[in-house]
Amino acid sequence: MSVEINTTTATNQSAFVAVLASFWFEFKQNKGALYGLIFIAILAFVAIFADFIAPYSPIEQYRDVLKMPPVWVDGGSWQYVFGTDALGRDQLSRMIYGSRYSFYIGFIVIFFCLTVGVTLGLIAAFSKGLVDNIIMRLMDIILAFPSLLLALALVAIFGPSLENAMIAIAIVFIPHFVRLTRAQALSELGKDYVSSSKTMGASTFRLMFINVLPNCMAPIIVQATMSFSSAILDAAALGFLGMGAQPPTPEWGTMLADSRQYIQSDPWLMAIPGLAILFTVLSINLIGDGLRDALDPKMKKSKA
Amino acid sequence: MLSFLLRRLLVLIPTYIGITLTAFIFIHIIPGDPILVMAGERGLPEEKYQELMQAFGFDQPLWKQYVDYVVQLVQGDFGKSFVTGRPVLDEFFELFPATVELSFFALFFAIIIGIPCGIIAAVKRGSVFDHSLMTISLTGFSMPIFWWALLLIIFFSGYLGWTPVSGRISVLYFFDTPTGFMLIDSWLSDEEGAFSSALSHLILPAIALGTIPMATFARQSRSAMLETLGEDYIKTARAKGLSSFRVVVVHGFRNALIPIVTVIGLSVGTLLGGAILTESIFSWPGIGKWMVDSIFRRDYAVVQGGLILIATMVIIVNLSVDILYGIIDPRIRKKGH
Amino acid sequence: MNDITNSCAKELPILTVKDLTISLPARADRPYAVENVSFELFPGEILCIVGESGSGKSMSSNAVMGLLPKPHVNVSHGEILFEGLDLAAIDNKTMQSIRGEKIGMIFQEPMTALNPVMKVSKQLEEVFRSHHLKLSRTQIQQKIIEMLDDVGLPDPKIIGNSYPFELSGGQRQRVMIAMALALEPTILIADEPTTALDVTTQAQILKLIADLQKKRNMGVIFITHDFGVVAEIADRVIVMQLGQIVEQGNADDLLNRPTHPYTRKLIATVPHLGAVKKVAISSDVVVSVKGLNKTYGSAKKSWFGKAGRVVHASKDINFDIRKGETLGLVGESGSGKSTVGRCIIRLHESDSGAVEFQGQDILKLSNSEMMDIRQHIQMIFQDPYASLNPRRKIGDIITEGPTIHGVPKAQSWKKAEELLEIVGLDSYALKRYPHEFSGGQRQRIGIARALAMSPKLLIADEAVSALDVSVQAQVLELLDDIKHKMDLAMLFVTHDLRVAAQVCDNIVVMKLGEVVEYGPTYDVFHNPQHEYTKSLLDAVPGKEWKVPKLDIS
Repeated sequence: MSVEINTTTATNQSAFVAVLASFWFEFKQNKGALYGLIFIAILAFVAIFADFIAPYSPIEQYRDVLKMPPVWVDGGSWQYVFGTDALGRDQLSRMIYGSRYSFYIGFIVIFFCLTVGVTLGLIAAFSKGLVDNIIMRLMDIILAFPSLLLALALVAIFGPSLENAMIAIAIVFIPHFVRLTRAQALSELGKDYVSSSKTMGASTFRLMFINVLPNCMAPIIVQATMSFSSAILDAAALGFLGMGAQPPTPEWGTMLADSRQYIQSDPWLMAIPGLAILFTVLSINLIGDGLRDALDPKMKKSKA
Repeated sequence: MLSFLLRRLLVLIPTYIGITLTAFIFIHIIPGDPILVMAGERGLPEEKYQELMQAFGFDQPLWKQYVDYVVQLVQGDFGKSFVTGRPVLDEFFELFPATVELSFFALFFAIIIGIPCGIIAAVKRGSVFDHSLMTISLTGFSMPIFWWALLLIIFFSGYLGWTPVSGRISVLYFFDTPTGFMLIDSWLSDEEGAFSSALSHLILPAIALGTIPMATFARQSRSAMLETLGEDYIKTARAKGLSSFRVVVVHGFRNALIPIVTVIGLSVGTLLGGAILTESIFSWPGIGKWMVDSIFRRDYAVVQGGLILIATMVIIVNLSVDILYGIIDPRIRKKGH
Repeated sequence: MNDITNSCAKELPILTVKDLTISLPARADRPYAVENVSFELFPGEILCIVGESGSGKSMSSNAVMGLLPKPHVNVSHGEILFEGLDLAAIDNKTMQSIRGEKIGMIFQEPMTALNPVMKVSKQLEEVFRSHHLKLSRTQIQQKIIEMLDDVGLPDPKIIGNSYPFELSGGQRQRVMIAMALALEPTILIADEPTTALDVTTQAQILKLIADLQKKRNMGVIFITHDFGVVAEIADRVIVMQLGQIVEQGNADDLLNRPTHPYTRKLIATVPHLGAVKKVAISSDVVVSVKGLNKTYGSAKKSWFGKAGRVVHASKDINFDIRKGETLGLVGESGSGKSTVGRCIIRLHESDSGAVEFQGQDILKLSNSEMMDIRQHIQMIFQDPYASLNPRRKIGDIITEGPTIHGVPKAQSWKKAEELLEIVGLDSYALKRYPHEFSGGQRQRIGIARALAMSPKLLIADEAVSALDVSVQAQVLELLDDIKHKMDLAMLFVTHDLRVAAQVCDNIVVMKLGEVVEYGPTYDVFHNPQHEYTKSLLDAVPGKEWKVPKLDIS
C-alpha cells in the first residue's frame, strides 16, 4: 500500500513539496522538536541582529557598575537587565553576542565533519580492501583517545584560540561520521537499486554521489544535528578550561570560566551563561530527536 | 570464539602502532623547542642544553628517536616527567585508583537508575512516565557538565553544607593507602569518621560524572528495548502465555543487551581515560586532572606517556566489550565472526 | 452461509467470532483493519482464511490471541467467544492463561520468531513453567523430548540443546509447532506458517500440521494467501478483502464453484500447474552459458591454519537461450539460481566458464568493453521496494541507463514516456517518487527501466515473487507481452513451479549449484527424469486441485 498523493498536476515542484510536506507533518508530531526549533529560530534571529538588539557593546567596561545583579534580584536595575560582570561589562549584551559564537562553532565543526567525514566514509565503503582498512584504522586511532582529552591536547599544540578549538573538535568528531557513512553506504550498496545502476554501467562516482549518498543522508543529518550541539558543549568546555575562546570574547563557556571565582558571592554570573548553553544544546538535541523520528525509514515503512 | 579474539588482536597491532606514532609526533610538532619549553623562562646555559638534548635523544634522527621510543615502551618505560622527574608509569598507577573509584561509582549510579528507567519507558511507550523520562534524560544529555558540577557545589556544599567542595578526603586524616582506593583504605584505617569523610567527598563528583552516562543509558535502553519489543520472538513469547515481566526481561532485555553494553563500554573507556572536567572542578587527584595539569604545565613527557596509557586502557575496555558480546550472543560466540 | 452451519450442527463451535471490528489509528489509509467479521471454528476442522496483503486476515487472528499492537489498534466492536469467555473483553491475566494452554499460535518467519539467544529446550521449558503445571524437572525434560519427537525432529536431545540459528528454517518451524502444541491446546492458529519456506519443506510442514490436527482433533485456523495451500489442507475457507469477509464455505465448493466476483478473480489468477506443450523454438541463440563456475569462500588456509569452507554457488552450468525464448531457472533457496543470473550480467564475477553473447565471451571483457554489452542485457529484480532508488524520480530512474550511454536527455525522457505507456502507467509517473506507487506498479517501473536500454536479453530474478497473486498475474502477462513484441530472450529465475509452468518454454532445474534437469517445460512437468525434480513437483501444494476455468468478465 503506497501513500497516494492525489494531485492532478504533478509538476517537478509539487513532488518535492509533497516530500517536504510529509516530512514536516512527521516532524511537528513531536512537540519537543517544535519547541526546540522555535527556540533556535529566536536565537538565530538574536545572533544575526545582535548589532541592533544588544543595548551595549559586549566588551566595553562600565567601571562604576561592577557585578551588578540582574533586574529581578535586589539591587538590580533595568539599565543592565542581566546585570554586569566583574569588569562592569553588560551581561545581556555579552549573552546576545555570545549566541553568534554558538552558531559559528556549530556550523564550522559540522562543515568539516560533513565534508571530510562523509567523503572518507564513502571512499572506505566503495574501496574495500586496503584503502578501507587504512581509513578505518586511522579512525580507530582517533577513537582510542577520549575525545575531550584529545581535543585539549590538540589545542595545546595548535595554541589556545576559538578557531583551533573548533578544528580540534572537528578532528575528534570526524571518526563518527566516517563510521556512520561507511556503514550506511555498505547497507545501501547491497540493495538492488544499486545493482540496477551497475547493470546500466554507472561509474563509481555516479554510484557514490547520485545513487548511494542521498539515501545515506537521513542518519547523517541526525548525527550532524547531534554533533552541532556536542560541538557547542565541547567548545564551551574548552573555553571553561581556558583553551577555547580567549577573553574578552563573549563566548558562553569562557564567560562561565570567568565567573567561576564568584560562584558563592554572585551565582547569577554563572547561572545565565550556563542556562543559555543548556537551553541551546537541549533545543538542538530536541530537533535532532524530531529529525530522527521523521526521517527513520523503519517508522516510514510501518505506515506506508 | 578464540579465532575471533585473535583476529581482533591482530587488527589492534596497526592501531597500536598508530597510537604510539601519534603520541610520538605530538611532542615534535609542539611549537618551540621542548628543552627550552621545559626550562621555562629562566633559560639554560649552552652545555646544560646539549647535555639535555643528548639525555632525551633529541639530537638523533627522527626515525631513530621513534624506534628508541618504541623499544623503551616495550620495556615498560614511558618516560619521565619534565616537572617532577618521576617515571610517568609510577605517577599513572598512583593516580589511577582515584579515577577508578570515581568512575565506578558514577557508572554504578548511572546503570542502576538509567537502564531500568529506559526499560520502563519503552514498555510504557507514550505514557507520562515515558515523556517525562525522555525530557529529563535529554536535558541530562545536554548538560554542560562543568556548569552542572558547579551548580551541585553551590547547592549541596554552599547552600546545604552537606558535602565538601573538593579532594578525596578531609585533610584531618592521615593513614596508609595500600590499595589506593580511598573508601577501602579509610575503612581499613580504623580512623573514626574517615570512611564517611571519603564517602561524602565522593558523592558529588560521582553524581556530576554519572549524569551524562545515565541519560545516555536511559535513552539507549529505551530505544534498544523498543526495537526488540517489536521483534517476532516477543510475539511468540506472548503467544506462549508468558507473563509480561518474563516477556520483557527474559526475552526483551536479554536481546537488547548488545547496544546497551556497547554504550556502557564506551562510557567506561571515556571515564577511565579521565573525567577531565569533573576531576578538575572537584580537584579529584585522578588521571584526568593529571593530564590537564600536565598540559598546562607543558609537561609533554607526561602528556605523551599518559595518552598512550589511556589509549591502551580504552582498547582493553573495547576488547572486553567484544568478549562480552560473545557471552551475550551465542551467534557471535559460535560463528566467531 | 446457512447450510454450512446446518451441516456442522452436530457439533458446537469451539470459537465464535461475532461482528468483530478492529479500528486502526487515525492516520491509517482506512478506519478499520477488520469490519463486522463473523465466523465459527468447529473442533477437528482446518479453517483457512485467505486474502491478499492488507485484507485483515492476520489482524483477525491476532485479535483472537489478544496480540493486537495496542493501544494503536483495538477491537472496537464485537465479541470473540471461547469456552464461555469473550476474549475481546477479558483481562490480561486470564488471556495469559489461555494463550499457549488453550490456543497455540505459530508465525510466518521461523527465522525471527524464536528468541535468538535462548536454547530451544529452554524456550520449550518456559511454556510448561509459565502455566503453573505441577510437573517436575525430569517430567518437563521428558515432555520436551516427546514434543520434539512428535514434530518429526531427529535427535531431539541435540536439537533441544541448540540455539535457533543453528537450525534450518524447516526445523525452526517444527520447533515453533512443538512449542505451540506443547500444552495440547484446543485451537491452533497458524499465520502463514509455510510462506517463508521452500516448497519441499512446505509440503512436510503442511503434512505435519494436518497429521497433528487429526491426531488431537484440534480446530486449526490457517491463514494464507496461497490457494494451492488452501486446496491442500482446508476443510472450510473464508475469503477476506479489505477487512471484510466476502465469501465463506467448505473447501470443495469455494475452490471449484466460487460465487463472489473477488474470489472468482483470485482463483482465476492462480497459475495452472500443468504446462502446455509448446513448439520448440529454433531461432538464433542469444546467449550461451558454458561451464560456468562460481564459488564462495576460499580453499586457502587462513592465518590460523583452518581451511576455508568452499561453497559451490554454481558448478559447471550450461544452457542456451534463444530469441523469443523464456528459459526458467528453478530451484529452492541455496540452489544458486540467482547467482547464475547475476554472473551472466556480471554483478558477480565468476570463477571460470564462458558466457557467449553476440559472438564474444563477455566474462573476459574489461569494464570498458563491457559497457557496450550492458545495454543489451538487463535485469528485473525481486524486491520492488529495494530495487528503485527512493530518492530519485521515476523519470530519472528510467532514463539513468540511456543517460550513462550518452542518449540526449530530451530523447530519453520521450522514450521513458512511451515505455511507461507500454507497462501500463500514466506518463505523470515520471515526475514522482517510488514511494508513491504500489508494489505492482513499482515492478512495472522496474520493467520499463530495463526496457529503456532496448535489451536483447532480460533476466527476471524472482520478478513476481514479492507480489500478490492478482498483481502477479498482471505482471506475468505484461512480461509475456513484451517478450513477444520485442522478440526478447528471457531468463526467468523463480522458485515457484506454478509460475514457471505457465511462462517458460524450457526449464533448468538446479539443486545445490548444479543442474539436475534441463528440457522443454512440458517434458519436465509431465515426465520428470531426475528424482529431485520429481520431489519438487510432488511438493507443490494443492497439486491435486485442478484450477477451474472461470469466466471473470
